[in-house]
Amino acid sequence: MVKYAGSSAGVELQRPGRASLAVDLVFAESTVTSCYSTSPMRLLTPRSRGRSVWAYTSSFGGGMVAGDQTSLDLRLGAETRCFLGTQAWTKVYRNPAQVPSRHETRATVDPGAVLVFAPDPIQAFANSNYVQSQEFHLAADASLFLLDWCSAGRVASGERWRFNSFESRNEVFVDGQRVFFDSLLLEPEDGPLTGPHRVGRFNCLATLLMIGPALREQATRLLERLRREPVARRGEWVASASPVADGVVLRVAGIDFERVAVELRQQMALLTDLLADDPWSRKW
Amino acid sequence: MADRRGVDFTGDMRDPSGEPVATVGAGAETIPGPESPTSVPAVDVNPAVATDWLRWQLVDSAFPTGGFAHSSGLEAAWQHDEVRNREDFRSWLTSSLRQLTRGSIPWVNAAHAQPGQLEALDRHCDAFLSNHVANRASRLQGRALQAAGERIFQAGIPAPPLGHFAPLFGALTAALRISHPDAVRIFVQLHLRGVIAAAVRLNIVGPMEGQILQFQFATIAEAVSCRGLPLTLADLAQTAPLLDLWQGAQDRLYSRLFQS
Repeated sequence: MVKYAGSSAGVELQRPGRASLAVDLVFAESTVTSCYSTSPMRLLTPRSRGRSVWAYTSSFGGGMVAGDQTSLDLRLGAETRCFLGTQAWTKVYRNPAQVPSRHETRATVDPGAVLVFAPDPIQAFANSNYVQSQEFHLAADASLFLLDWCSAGRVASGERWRFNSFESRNEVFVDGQRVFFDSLLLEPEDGPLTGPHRVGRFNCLATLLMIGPALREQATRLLERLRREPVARRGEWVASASPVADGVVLRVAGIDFERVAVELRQQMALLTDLLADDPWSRKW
Repeated sequence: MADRRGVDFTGDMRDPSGEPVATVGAGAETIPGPESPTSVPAVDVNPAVATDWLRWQLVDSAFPTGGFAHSSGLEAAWQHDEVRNREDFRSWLTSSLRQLTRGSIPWVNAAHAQPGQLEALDRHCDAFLSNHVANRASRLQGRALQAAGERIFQAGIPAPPLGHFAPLFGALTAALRISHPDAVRIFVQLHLRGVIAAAVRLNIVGPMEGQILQFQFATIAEAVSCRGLPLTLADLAQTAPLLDLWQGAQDRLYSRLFQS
């Protein structure tokens, strides 16, 4: 069951910037059965066994430089649970050569398993180029909590939405059917990014998707709550929730990063039972 | 658009190339010729290229696609106080048109090139339109377009499972032999005039001002069409995420004129 770098899968993993994690049910506990990464990717598993596995990715150098290509492969066996986060914000450094940094995620989630995929926000610096593409393949009764968020850049030093290009794509398949396909492209070619009707005065954008039986109740409650939310005039933040398959997609834009984080933290806290603890309790 | 200078009113409706002009889409009935002693050429019911007449019919506001029940998110943005006056509206309209380039035109392109793939494109489009308000609006208008295509042109396009507007529009225009560039232009024009009409009804701009805007935005609309023309499904993206966010609140508006 356990695969090491020397196995046939290991050869493919010798390429730089790859990480791979497999979780299987061993004696009724979610257990890391394979964990491998090559520089500049790192994969840490502070909880490699228990009700849920906890894993974190991080990168040497603390961020992506031009031309970096990283990838993450996740496989969750039946009935397992896994939380995946990042150690810190993913920084995308400036890129004078205009060679984009790329990241790919591919996850398969077997029947009854739950994947909580909640990295910290991506912070694309001025003059950076970033392309991210993520695919999640779920069995019919698997569950996914997927968070994808980004900030305007180094807002504290007055740098807002100054990157060359930022692209993020998420696709979710349930039982082979594409149920969610989200693609965000921010580049000045389509007009000034800070135009009032593109990202305007907002500094943080977040998309949160919940799908599957383990999250159904939480998704329903979130939809109900937002359905009653009054429409704010020129609010500090905007949120919108729509049903997706048997779950929900929540989209949020906030002027203040903290305000967005508060909303998301509430949703993370509700996962405590699933994950055996709240992975965000000591964050921010 | 093709130059149709040769049409005179003597009853000989031929353009300089000798092609009959008064033609409609595939399978439609023959239009009775004018009551005139002059001989009228037989009308080609199966033309190789769509005529201006057909294009005009598609862009005519009387063409029943149900577009006027929708504001493409303008009403929600207006109630969020994000579109307060004509300057705001110009900015909103620019973002909305640019969003159309990558968010909708690739579906038109794909379905126009491969109408046989309509069902798969329809499902793919459904996963992309995850905002329930935009999704519903697209299905309502798509189904109206499909029904109109059958009733009016007998276009022979079976109703796809969900009936999203952009892929159906591509498939219908292909069936009607409207060229790909024209199909994209008409698609952009429908959006442009639709949101301007919505702005007039919301009293953001007056009717005459709306027409001035439509004239002024022709350059942007043409640029949007040209940029959209080569895009494939790999280019699909949201470029103005706030438009989608505001639109998502449509059902929560206290009072509303539009369905989306």
